[in-house]
Amino acid sequence: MSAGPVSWEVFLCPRRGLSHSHVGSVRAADVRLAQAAARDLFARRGRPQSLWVVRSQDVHAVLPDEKDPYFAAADGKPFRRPGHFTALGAVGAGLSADADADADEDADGSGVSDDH
Amino acid sequence: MTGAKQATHDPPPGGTTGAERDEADLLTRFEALLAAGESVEPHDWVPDGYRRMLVRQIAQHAHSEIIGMQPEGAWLTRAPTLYRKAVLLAKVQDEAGHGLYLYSAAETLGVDRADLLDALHRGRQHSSAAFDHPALTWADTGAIAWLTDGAAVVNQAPLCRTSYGPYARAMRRVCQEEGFHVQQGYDQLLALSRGTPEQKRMAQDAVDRWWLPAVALMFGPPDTGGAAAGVGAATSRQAMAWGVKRHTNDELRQRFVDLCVPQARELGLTLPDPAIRWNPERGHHDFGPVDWACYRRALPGDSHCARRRIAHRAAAHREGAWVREAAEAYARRSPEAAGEPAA
Ligand SMILES: [Fe+2]
Ligand SMILES: [Fe+2]
Repeated sequence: MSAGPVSWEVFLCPRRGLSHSHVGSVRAADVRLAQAAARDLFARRGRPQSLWVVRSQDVHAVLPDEKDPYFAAADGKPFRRPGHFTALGAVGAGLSADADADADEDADGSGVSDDH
Repeated sequence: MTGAKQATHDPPPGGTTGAERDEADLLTRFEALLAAGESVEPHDWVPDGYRRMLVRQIAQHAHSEIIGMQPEGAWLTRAPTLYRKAVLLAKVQDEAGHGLYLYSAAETLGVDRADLLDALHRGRQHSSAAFDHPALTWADTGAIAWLTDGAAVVNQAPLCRTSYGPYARAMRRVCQEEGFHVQQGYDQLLALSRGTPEQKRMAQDAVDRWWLPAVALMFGPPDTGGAAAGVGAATSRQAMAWGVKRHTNDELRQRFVDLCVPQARELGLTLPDPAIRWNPERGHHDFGPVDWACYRRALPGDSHCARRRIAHRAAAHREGAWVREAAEAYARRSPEAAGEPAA
């Protein structure tokens, strides 16, 4: 690998109420240059709410090759899934977290929304 | 994500099965991904040929984006109005961005952009020959955006669904902006076409010179039917089997011609091909055959213009070395700024 500016992962939050998502990566010598490069590359149109840069080497991934042993606990537990239990029916309308929480409000996947 | 970390892949530790068995298993998994229409990601095992094909294609594409900045960039200081200058500057900056998205995508395959740029400068890799033509007048910037970027959109829209995930994601960003560039070029040509007779002549002249590079070089050699297809056809077949490409060069070329004919009519300009006419039986426009022998002679590295483009790029890289060195030196002096934990 040739010497050169290090790699940074870029995360962008397009507007209030949304989480940051990974949009790509840039090469830059330091934080400020990485932020400037990320702005020039991923925010030429529109004004995002916020931009993160993280050194690529600081992202610690769990590879899918390790999926079977590592994520096995998620399998065989249907009681962790929506739809597993008897529906509440008309009385329960409005109590379910899914009822009006859209994907944005539940971006962390917790199923918790703070409406009402 | 970039970095050699993701790109290198160690086969799972071999137990009783031999390395060949492992390779066969991995290949089966890879082919199952393709068959299911799932995207292949950097940590997946891929056959060497697939990796090589992608590196070659993505690098060539990235090189074309940044070399493609030059013909239009040359007009930045001579734009007719401040508005047109701002518009052109934004467009050329987008092209730089396209190059960067693509170099990042290539890096997920275990190569380094510094090496790719070095290969471009040394003539071991090439950009598309479509840009190896001089931009003679202001109208050329409009014709390039309308025709060359228009060809790019047709060529690249299917690549948004290419089998390699990082490439597909880069292409989705690129395509959004290319579509915008086509409109911009069209708008510029329309202004000229509706201007003075001299301006209209200038627009027509630019379209006359950029039509063939777009039709021929942006889509590559013929790859269907007849003897002319040869090598192009075999490469195309493999690229389609791996889901890298989704259509033949000739299909895409036809689609481009069909799109351009009505637009040219709206512009009040003529496409420089007397053979263009609607063929109701095929439901497509017929168009004249491309003189491939002529184009092959002009292919990478040979033409004067191509050499100038590479020399210009290499000189800019060389002359910018002190900036990169200063940034590195500053980062070494302040590790925190470089993103390293404070000592
Ligand atoms: Fe582009
Ligand atoms: Fe473009």
